[in-house]
Amino acid sequence: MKHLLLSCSLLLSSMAFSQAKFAQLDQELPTANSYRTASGAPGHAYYQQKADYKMNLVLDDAKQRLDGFETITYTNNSPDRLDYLWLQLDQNIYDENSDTKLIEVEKMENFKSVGDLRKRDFKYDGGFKIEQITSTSGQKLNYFINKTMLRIDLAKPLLPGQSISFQVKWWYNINDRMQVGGRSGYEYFETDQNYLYTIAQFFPRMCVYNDVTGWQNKQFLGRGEFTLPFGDYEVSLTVPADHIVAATGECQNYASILTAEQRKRYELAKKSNTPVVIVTQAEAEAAEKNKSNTTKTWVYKAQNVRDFAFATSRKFIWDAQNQTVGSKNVLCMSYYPKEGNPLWERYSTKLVAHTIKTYSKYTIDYPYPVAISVHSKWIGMEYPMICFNGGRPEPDGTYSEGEKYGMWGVIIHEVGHNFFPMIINSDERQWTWMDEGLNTFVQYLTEQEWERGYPSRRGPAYLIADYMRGDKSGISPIMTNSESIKQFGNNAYGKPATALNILRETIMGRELFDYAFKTYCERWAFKHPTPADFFRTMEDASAVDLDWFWRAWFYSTDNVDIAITDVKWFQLNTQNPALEKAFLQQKEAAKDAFIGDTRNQTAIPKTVNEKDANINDFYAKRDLFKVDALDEKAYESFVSKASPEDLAYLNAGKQLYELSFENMGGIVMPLIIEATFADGSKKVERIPAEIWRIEEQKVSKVFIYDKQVVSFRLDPFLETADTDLDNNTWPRQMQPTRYQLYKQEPSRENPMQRQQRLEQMQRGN
Amino acid sequence: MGLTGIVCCLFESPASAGLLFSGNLIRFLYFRNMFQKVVLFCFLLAFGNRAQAHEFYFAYAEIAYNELSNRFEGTLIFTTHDLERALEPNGSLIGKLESSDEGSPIRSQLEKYINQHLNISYGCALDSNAFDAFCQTDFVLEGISPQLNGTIECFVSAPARLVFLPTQFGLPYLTNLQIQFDALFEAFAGQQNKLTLLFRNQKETLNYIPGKSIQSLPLKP
Repeated sequence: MKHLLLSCSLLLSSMAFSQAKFAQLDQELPTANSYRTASGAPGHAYYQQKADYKMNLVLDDAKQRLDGFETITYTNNSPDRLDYLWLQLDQNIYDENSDTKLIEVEKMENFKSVGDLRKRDFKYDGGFKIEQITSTSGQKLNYFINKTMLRIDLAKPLLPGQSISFQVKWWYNINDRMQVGGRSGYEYFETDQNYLYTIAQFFPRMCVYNDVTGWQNKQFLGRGEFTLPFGDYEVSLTVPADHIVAATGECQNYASILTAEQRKRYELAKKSNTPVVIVTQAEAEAAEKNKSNTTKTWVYKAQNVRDFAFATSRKFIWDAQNQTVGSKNVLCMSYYPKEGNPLWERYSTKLVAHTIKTYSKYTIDYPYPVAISVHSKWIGMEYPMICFNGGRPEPDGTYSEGEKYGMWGVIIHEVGHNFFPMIINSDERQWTWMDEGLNTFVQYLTEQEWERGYPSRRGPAYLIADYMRGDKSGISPIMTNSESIKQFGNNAYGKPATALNILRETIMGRELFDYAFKTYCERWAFKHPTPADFFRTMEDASAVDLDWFWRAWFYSTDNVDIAITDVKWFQLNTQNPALEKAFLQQKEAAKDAFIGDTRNQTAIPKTVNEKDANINDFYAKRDLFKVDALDEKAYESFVSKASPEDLAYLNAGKQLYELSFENMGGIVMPLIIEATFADGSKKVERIPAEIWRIEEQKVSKVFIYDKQVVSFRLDPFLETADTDLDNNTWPRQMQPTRYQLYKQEPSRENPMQRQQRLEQMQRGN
Repeated sequence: MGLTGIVCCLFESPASAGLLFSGNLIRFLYFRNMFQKVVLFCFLLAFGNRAQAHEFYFAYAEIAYNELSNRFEGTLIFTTHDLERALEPNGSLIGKLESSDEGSPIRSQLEKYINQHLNISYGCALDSNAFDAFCQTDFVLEGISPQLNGTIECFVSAPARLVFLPTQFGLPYLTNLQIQFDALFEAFAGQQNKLTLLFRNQKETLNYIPGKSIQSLPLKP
């Protein structure tokens, strides 16, 4: 009995192992419930909280300090009683005792210059200074600060359906982004002694409370970004009078802020489908020199957004154009210092317009009234309706082609974040890929619609192969918490974007994929989706079982490396002795001849049996390839029993090939095989990944053709991210290395220098 | 010698690193010396102290042993601005690799940098009497090719002595390639590199992370 049990358990474990790659994701995904259905849609009991903000902000340009007074109205739409509220204090990562600094793994070898040491040792008085938290009637509320989180202890619980309003007074010293880094801060321009502020994560913000995490109050350590509830904002921003402000939402008082001429240009821009300059470079340069000592207050309103950010500077040039999305007009705008030109005046606003139009096609119609791109050196960072983007030309106004594509890419990417996660509001603190990966995927689609052959860095399958191949000790599965990811960019941006591209191009097809992806976006717009909601929706809307794909691409670090290990060639035996014996005779004649036999043909003029006829008996005289009456009778009998269709098929000259494949990398994928025939024509076979559903390591497949095949190639269109193309061909064909390709290039001259030489020649010099 | 070179030398030797913490006097001398060396380069800090966050930090190398030419030949792929940043503290403002000419100082600097961070040590024969010598690569930068997606390909080759194979001499330590590829590790804490080596029919991809900058690859018979 003991042995029987052991055998059974071994059998079961081996069965489980053999089905590992195609096992359903039952254990990995949370159980569906009334909040989130098994189909991936919000359930009938789905809820989300609401946080509305009214803020008065004052920027001190002389001290680079921001003061704020905010009134938060928090509405509990959950079925739960809340005894306390959690707010996020993101600025506290700049606190001297911040965990962000403490948890940084360091070695002495990381510090190779004084600059490195100074940066390590750099201190400034950062972090929120919370002055008071009170009820709207002025009563102090009890609160406790735990690093980047703040808990307000309620005097009485907040019951389902109830709202509470309270006020927070705070200030902080704005960080010098050039020194300390960060997603927001200021840049100081030494040449004209002015500041450019890009301000975000600047106010105590409500945490998300939901059915998945309860309070999402995981500390902000710097990498895992933000998880925020939707709400309405009313913000008054007091800044130097000559500053131009860009912010989330619509400005309510342009009439009292802008000059009459600027208002006229603004109205013109709202109707224009090309950029119209509202604040000119000359006006910005004049402001740079004059430096006003008075202030102005800009008033903004934004509805149903998860955050608020702004930028302000007297250096800003401002242009705008309209973009229609569905039946709505969206005002696309850019704000940039003169240092951003000529790139920014030429491209930024057009890129904003193109991005919201293209994303709207693949996701949902862009719902907000404005979309803004602000130039901020080196970084790319996203907020609702506004983002901060790098891409700065050289001081002399020249720029490289790489710089141009870098700027294009970052603007598309950051504007695209309006959709992921600003609208399709995933939990960034937990899952980076849900916004970065999905956004990078649609960024790729958008780039390809901007310029044919756009050199996208991420998206095409073959571009991820270098990262995925080989030793896996330095990489993580995509389904890894944002703070623990190794190789952040490839893991959370590149690999998920590639995976979605593979689903679209290879596994599901464009039509099915686009429908399912749009369904996910429509279902979860202005809601809080989780990975399971995405995985389930993609399957639910397409009828394609993708559990194996999520398991391989999102839960493992395996790579794709499928090899053609063997090819066997067969032809059908027609049973017709006339044909088959002739074939055998031909084959015999074609056999390689042993050198001794060949030489003996001449070296031995006559053998004994050639001289003496009596030597040859029956065996020596018989003709193995002669068709006799018995052969004919047997064939007649065969023909009489066979159907005309079978006979026709047998005589059709079919060529049969048995191909063997081996899964070397771990990820099973569809087999895309290109057969090249003797006449030069080609045929592509597409075998679904389910061919691996029972045998995960080795499979074989027979292909039947009317023509003879001269070669087979696996993954001929580079669509599976196969990391080793050398084993993808039969007969074996080694792929040239990059070095060999480089050596084959006819010219290695700098293209711009070559152009200059050409122009010189044409001028006759 | 630039600052990076000096500090590298000290840190690459475990014995030296140990000395740093073995006594106050030695520690003091070390830092004083370092300070003296780096004062001259302070003007560079404004350029070398960029604090931007980005998400790349991945370099890849593909090195093949060409038996006909008896050379190691390969391609290294970096994020262009990462590489430019790593080169900056070594000397002076280097400008853009994209617009550099062959023979320009930045190319020499790049070649030197590559040789500091890519090295293959292997059992070799220096002459007919040397059965157990170790050789190291000395790569020549043959060219660069900036890509429009923000990466740059650097093409290198290095002469190889006769490489010992497992069937020769029965000395297993000679038939392992020791491959170092730690480019950009000193510049970015999150840097990770991969290197694919093609040696006859053998093809292996090795992973490099901070603290693991040398990998050993046994050659197959």
